[in-house]
Amino acid sequence: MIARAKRGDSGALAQLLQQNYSFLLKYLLKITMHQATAEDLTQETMLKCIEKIRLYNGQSKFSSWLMTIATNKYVDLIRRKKQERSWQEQEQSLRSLRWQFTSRNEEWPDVLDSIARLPYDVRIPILLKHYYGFAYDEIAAMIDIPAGTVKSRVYNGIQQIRKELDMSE
Amino acid sequence: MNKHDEEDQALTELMRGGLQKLDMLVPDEMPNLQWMEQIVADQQNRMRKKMWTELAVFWLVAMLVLSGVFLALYANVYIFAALQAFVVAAAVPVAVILRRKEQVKTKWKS
Repeated sequence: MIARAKRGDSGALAQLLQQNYSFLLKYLLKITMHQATAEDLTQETMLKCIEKIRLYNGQSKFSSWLMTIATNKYVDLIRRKKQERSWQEQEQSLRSLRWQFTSRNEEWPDVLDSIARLPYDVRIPILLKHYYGFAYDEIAAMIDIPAGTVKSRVYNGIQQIRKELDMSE
Repeated sequence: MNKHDEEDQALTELMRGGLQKLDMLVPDEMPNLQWMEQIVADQQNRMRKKMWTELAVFWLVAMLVLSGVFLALYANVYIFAALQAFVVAAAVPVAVILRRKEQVKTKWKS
């Protein structure tokens, strides 16, 4: 299907995007911790993918390629706004997510608060490493920073989460 | 496995569990295929229009530049030579500046 999409088959491309839509939205919700932003960025990533599908070289999985585009879109968005969301805006977004948990009779895990409080450039490598299981080198290639930097960000982020959750050293 | 590794493992599990719960907020069902096909078709149309506009602008600018160059050549050969020398000299620093800008744009803060 990927080969057909690359050759210009728009039906195959639509099917490919359809299959990856909810995966992408879930990824963006985790890195942004903001539902509306995640939905907007999912659409933008899809549009970018339509534009650049011919450049996909198959070296990584298609879903990883989409994640790279989505991550870059999120970083661009933060840069455009010059700073990460204000504390109030972030709290408001977390409140809305918490409310959705409550409405499903689910308990909100404290660890999500700690993850949300991390800066984006620490949160993303942690998610890619510990949730999606990418290797440091793969993360480095995806977000275009040295593997050593990825490693130290993951380590420092984990320490910060552990401190916030008050887990012993 | 030492105590530190066990704690790391426990924290990783805790994070994974919390993040999995966050996944529940996104429905698993795929969006409508027709809607997706429409998005693909619209975007491809936009790209086609953009490409033709860019091509038209390119041809217009190219024609303007070439007219200017021929005008200079026929009006005064010294002006033509000076213009050529200026363009060659300016090309290198402009390329370097553009490349630096591109690198800054694509690099994450480190």
